[in-house]
Amino acid sequence: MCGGGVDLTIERKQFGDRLILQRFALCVRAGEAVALTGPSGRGKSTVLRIVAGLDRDFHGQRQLDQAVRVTMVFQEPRLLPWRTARQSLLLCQPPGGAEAVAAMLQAVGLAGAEDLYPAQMSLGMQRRAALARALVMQPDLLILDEAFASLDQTTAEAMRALLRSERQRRPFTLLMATHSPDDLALVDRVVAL
Amino acid sequence: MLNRSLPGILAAVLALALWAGAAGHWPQAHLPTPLAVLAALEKAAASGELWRHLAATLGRVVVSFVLAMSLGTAVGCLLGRSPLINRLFGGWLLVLLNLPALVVIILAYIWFGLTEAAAVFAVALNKLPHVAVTVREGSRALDPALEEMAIVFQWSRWRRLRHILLPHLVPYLFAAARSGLALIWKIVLVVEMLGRSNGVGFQIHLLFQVFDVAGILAYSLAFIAVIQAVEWGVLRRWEARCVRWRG
Repeated sequence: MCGGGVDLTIERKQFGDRLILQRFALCVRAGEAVALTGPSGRGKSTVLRIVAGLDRDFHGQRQLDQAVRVTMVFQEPRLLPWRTARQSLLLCQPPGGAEAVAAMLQAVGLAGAEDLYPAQMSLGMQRRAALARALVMQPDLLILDEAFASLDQTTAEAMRALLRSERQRRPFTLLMATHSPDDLALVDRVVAL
Repeated sequence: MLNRSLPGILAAVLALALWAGAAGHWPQAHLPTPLAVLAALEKAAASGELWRHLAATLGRVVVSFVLAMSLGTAVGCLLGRSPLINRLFGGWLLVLLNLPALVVIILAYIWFGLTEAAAVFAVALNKLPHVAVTVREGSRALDPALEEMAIVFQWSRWRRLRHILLPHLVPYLFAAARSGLALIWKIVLVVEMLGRSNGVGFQIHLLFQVFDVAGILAYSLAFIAVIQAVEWGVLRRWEARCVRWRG
């Protein structure tokens, strides 16, 4: 085991006849921050989906403590179209309840936009709401799939700062896929795919 | 407001004018004038008969509508979410869809007797497959990305059903409800004609035997008005509220 973190061995992962990953091993210790980098199509998202438990169709092994609370920010925000930002966060039943939801929405810069539906928000706002949803759950393992892509520079930097301070306040494991060199300052280690 | 309802008013006036014009050229017994129908309507309303029969029919429409919508939604969700169940029972749905309403009604009366339960059951069974098919297509159209989100965030089945599947199905449910209302009341009339002793269908049957066309038209128009009132007064407003999130 990798110290209560993520222990993943992928012998082979295929989509149909297409081989995506072969003999790939990833060990992330609890509390460690790791970035997966590499050109698109190398399987970064696939690794994240396997770690998150969304894809179990592979040859290999995934070990993750049952008690580990996993949250994820996907490439697309994946908010419920029919629920407001506040409702979307509350529905996940965060440990801190409504107060934590309000504070987190404020922290990502969505104060005043709590009761907007996704259709009434810009994509940038939706992505921030998605990050707020993942953080407010106080995860033990946070998975970010290009979470800061398509945010403007200032907002992306603010989100990185928020992530950094959240991890200082309450250390948690971070696994992120990224293209952006700016994200690498967030992590302890980079794994190239 | 006036500009938007103007075409509708014009269409209604045109229909009345055409009707009045045609009535002038046909024997009054075959096609009574709008005024004669209005008179028949007033008479039926004054005697209380109209309200009694409208209420009986409306009651049957409501009960069979609720039955067909709830059972049809459950069946549609099951078929839409499970390919195996759909392969097993999708064929049953197809048979039900193609079974003439009349056959279902007659069999229900033969098997369960000329009872209220048999009447309502027959109507609901006629509408159920339509609801199920619409809801099945709706369930299949659900974005799997939202379900993945729910899996990662460990939502319970109930929370997924309540906050993902059902809200997603709302437009499909309203489509089914609107076409359902129109279909159900027509079938209720047949059911009443064949085996009930009250309701608009029963009354139309009586009026047919004495060839009272004005009465037949009066009862039909009265019930059309009721259904339209439900459609515009309840369904449309409710739907508009339910899809506010579209922004």
